[in-house]
Amino acid sequence: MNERDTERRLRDWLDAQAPSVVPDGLRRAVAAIPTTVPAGWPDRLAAALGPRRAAAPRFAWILLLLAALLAAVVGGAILVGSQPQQRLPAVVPPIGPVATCPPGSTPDEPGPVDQARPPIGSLERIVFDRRAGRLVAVTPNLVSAEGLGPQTWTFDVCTNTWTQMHPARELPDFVFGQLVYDVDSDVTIGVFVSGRVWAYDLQANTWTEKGVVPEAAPQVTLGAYDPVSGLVVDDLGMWTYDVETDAWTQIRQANGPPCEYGASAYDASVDRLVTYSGPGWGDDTTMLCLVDIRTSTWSATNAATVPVLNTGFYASDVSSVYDEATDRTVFSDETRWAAYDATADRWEILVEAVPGSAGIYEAVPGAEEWAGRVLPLLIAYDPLNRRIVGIGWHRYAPDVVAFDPVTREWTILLD
Amino acid sequence: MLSERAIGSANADRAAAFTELAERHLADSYRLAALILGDRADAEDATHDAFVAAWKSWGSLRDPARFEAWFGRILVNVCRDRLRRSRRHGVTDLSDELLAAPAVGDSAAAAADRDAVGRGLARLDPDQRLVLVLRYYRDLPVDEIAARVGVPAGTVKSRLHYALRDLGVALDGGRPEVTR
Repeated sequence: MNERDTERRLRDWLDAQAPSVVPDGLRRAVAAIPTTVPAGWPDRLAAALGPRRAAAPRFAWILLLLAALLAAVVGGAILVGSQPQQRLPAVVPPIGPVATCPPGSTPDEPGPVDQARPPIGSLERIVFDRRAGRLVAVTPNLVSAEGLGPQTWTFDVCTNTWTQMHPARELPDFVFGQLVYDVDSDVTIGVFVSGRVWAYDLQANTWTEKGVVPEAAPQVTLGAYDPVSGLVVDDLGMWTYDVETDAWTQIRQANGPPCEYGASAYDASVDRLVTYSGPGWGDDTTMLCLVDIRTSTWSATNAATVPVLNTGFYASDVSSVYDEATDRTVFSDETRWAAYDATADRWEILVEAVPGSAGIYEAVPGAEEWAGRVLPLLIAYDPLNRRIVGIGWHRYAPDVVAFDPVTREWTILLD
Repeated sequence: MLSERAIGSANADRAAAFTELAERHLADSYRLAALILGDRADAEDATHDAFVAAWKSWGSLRDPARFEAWFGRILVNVCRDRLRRSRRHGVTDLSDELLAAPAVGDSAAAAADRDAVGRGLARLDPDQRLVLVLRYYRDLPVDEIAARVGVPAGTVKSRLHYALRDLGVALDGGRPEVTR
């Protein structure tokens, strides 16, 4: 059957099956809403704080390191386009300052069960604010009893408690996209489906509206923070974004890596952007790309060793983080967490849910208390406690867990 | 057409403006929810929940001319959340009520064809079904679907492509690929 015939039959079916009559009960219930439901009135008149006028910090050592890297690549062959996967030299630039937990903190103790927390399923992305020592999360799709619209939350990894931040100006009415924490500027940067860039300063509890993505790259996807340049790069290593000047710079003109719409992290052990793209984005290829931001070269592999994550149409749900404790990039979906060691080109499955007969994952080896649940989908690296924090995406996953990549211990931080 | 004044500060004005817009968009919203969710009772709940959310957020609607797009996002998100929840419970099939509902004047062959389409849709991933309904029932362009669903336009295209492919396979009597 050709596509046009399928489309025609589908249109006919939809037109025929759409109910023609609105039930009286629904009509009455909707009409009664203004008299039975208190209206929410967000304080839209509160003026947003102005952008923080912090001086643009660019550390001298970053420039020196950049110069050294440039000098090193001048002597080597600069290849453009695809190249075979190869062992890469280890370069470990400092990622930036890290907060510490106050004395007496008990980060392994579960947080209070009765605390306020983001509604189940409302979070799409999280990042870790290194200086504040907190996870930052937004709820782009939230429709709940509390009302509609994005909310800004933070999670304190020292006390395992959520806090709704209530910034003077929340994000606009609908946001979906990526978040990256810019270490030297100390802000969380978001690029959303509208193409608008926003920056969140946790210390000032302020979202600042920036410009839009370049016309030449309307669907640019944030990849990771690059500690060498101090800029954020997109997931293909084609663009950089400087939040302090609100400027996008194209660092590669064409022939980018094929890992579109992937999940990315900057791997400090090999100085590469590591991007994973799973099936469901126009073909069924599972692919891993390593992008050298300095030389605009890349390698890609779709070898059988690349694990399949998030099969189906949820490749955007794959979450990624660089694990500083073991120098690996960890990717997660609801079925498994997988770590990639770029220095050895080796994958390891850290944890895997076992599909049950009903399609719900019924057991997680090594974490029996999660029986009947799926894995936390969203992950971030917690540099204070040197472990990975996972946030549950729905009711079958624990709210917050921690995975120590060295000891392989799992800790439920909030359930 | 409502004026901006209709979304004024007085409680009575707000209620009147909401009631008028809700009444105007209720039938379309209910139909859309029924097709997305595949269950009329669920569609009633979703439509009501969406209007409740809209009322609670009424202050964020500055331009009444944008109500349809604004509320459309709310409705799609409510339906999407319900689909995701039901997907976790494995109850994503279209209801028998909707599958079996014959159109007036249906011939046996036409009824069989409709049943085949309905069952093919029921076997799709919920997010695939959502974009199909928005595209082929509401005739929304890809960019608008992307904005309402909250995914990049490329994702919408991909989902449409695979959804049509799988639906075509189902109509041919085969089994669509299982996509989780």
